[in-house]
Amino acid sequence: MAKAKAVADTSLCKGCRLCVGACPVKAIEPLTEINKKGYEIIRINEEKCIGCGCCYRICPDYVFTINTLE
Amino acid sequence: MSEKFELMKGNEAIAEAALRAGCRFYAGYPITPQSEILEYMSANMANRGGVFVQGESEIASMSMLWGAAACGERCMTSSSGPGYDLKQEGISYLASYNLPAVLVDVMRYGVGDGEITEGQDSYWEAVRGGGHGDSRQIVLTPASVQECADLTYEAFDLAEKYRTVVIILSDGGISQMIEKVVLPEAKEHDKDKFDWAIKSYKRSDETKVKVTNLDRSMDYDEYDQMIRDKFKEMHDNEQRWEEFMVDDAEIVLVAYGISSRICKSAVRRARESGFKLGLIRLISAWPYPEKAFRNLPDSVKALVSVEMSLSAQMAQDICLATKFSLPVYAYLTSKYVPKTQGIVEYCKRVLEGKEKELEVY
Amino acid sequence: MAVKLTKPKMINQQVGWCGGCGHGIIQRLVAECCEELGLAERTVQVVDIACAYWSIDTLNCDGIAGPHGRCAAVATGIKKVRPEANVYVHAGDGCSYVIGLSETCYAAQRNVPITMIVVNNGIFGMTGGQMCLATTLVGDKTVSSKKGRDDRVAGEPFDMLNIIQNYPIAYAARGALYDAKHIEETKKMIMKGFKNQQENKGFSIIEVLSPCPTNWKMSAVDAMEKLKEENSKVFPVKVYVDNTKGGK
Repeated sequence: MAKAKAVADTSLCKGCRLCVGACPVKAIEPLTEINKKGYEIIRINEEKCIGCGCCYRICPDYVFTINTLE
Repeated sequence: MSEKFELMKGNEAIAEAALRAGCRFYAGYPITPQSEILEYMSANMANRGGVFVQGESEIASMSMLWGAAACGERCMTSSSGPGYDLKQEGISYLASYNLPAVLVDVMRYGVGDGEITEGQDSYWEAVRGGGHGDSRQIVLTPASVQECADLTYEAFDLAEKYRTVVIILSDGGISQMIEKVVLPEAKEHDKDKFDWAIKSYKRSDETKVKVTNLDRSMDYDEYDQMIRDKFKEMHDNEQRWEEFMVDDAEIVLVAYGISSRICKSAVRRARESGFKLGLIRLISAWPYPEKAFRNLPDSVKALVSVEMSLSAQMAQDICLATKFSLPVYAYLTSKYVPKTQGIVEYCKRVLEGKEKELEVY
Repeated sequence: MAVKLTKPKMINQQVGWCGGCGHGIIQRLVAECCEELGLAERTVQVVDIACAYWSIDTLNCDGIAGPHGRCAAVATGIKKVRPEANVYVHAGDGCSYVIGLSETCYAAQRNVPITMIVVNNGIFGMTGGQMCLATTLVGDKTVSSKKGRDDRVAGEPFDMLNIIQNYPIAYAARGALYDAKHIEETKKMIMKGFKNQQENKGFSIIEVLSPCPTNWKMSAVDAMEKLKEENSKVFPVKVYVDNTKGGK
């Protein structure tokens, strides 16, 4: 059981997809859905997410927050 | 003020007066004939609690000044001729955010490397220059060692009053001459008193200062109007000049700095033989003392600019100040300090119609 | 549930950089280091007038911009007047190694205790993707080297840290942004740079290999791959010099 999970504020996303490749468990899916700024956003698969923070670290646009579950 | 006299060079008086005005940051690069300012600062800044930096270039020195001025410190740099050219980038930046600083330009002769001897042909650069874009700087022109001290001392207050660069436009002659001088009293400056200055301690979030190209706390129209108003205010309030025997003069000489001293002798010499010369001596070159030309007596037949330059530089400003209402002539001596008799004879030829009026181009 | 990692408070709005640009990551690292060291209120940023400029709008600290290339000199002026401030430079390779090489080297020569963060993205980003003399790789196509950088004409890129490490400075290191691990290592380098400043140990320079997908004309993912496979081969990721240990 993961001790933390990532959540995404996709309104900030600029569609670069860096998080998709950075995720060690492939929990981030690229979508064709766009945000208000016109960028294609992503979705976190909560089942797969292990809350490691790789997405937070690679994202240039502060989309991700990692919350602990305890 | 103590009435104790000192014997000092013009350059040294500038440096000492700056320190007494509370200048605590100096960065510069050696170049003749201003190097004594840098040398004086190197020897005396630390024991007044200030910072002296010998920069790797004039450009870097100006950038250091941009940083120091943004912190609210009283700061100064100095240069000459080709070195002063390299200051233009920094002047433009200081102007863009309205930062106060004092620059000393000790003019030397010529374009390019020119010569290290005295000259006055950086007038346009100081008065019209300052990098790209609309900017005006107050330009003060000392004609004695005493004035070097007094004008520099006051320059820091003017710089902060208008948040502008103030230029002390000296020249090779004034900078090297030794005269007696009464130095102004030393005072301290509080760099924390400005709300626009960068600080380094906790304040509320609203007071974070962003020193940028243009003051972005306002929009462009607002900024433009603020700058126009500032130029107008400086223009209206800061015109400085000295009149010498103008009241009944037939010809009024117009000069500043080293050549204005010779002009004074020329006025006296001419009057010994009944030839009525007068003198308007600029103390500020920008704003140009237009007010001095508003109520000239009817006796005045012509105005003669006496400048150590190749082209008639300052003479053009006389035309603008008088709106071309009087004939203007230019007696130009380039790299030679004008001679008293030369000035008097030139003026006689003007009256006799043997000299050509100035063409503005 | 508690927040473990989130956008630092010091960053008060999103940045105008292009998608996938490394500047945003660097800004986050700077903000995190400032907050973790308790320096947020004392920090003064010096940004260059190029892509780094955007940072001035977003970090909640005192800041000053430009002139282009003069950041190390501006930071010197600030640090001398306000020695208690945490003064850092956020500038590109053009500013620090090309037009402003002299300013960078002489800040190092004076060993001014500032932290200089140099973004090495191998290109002039803000002006539209021209070659950077110091960092564009031979063969890389830019709008001013359309057939690829020709070393016979434009010379070769050069590792400036090789030179700067010989100055009497506290610290010189190069980090990279191509994966989370290296980003964390880069953060440690920046942290070290700030600590050196607080301990008055001298000049620290941290160069960061960073992608510019827009001007490299590739996807952000491919740009990170190029950074890892090509740029970091010419510009090795390592600590060049750390003079803070021992007697210094």
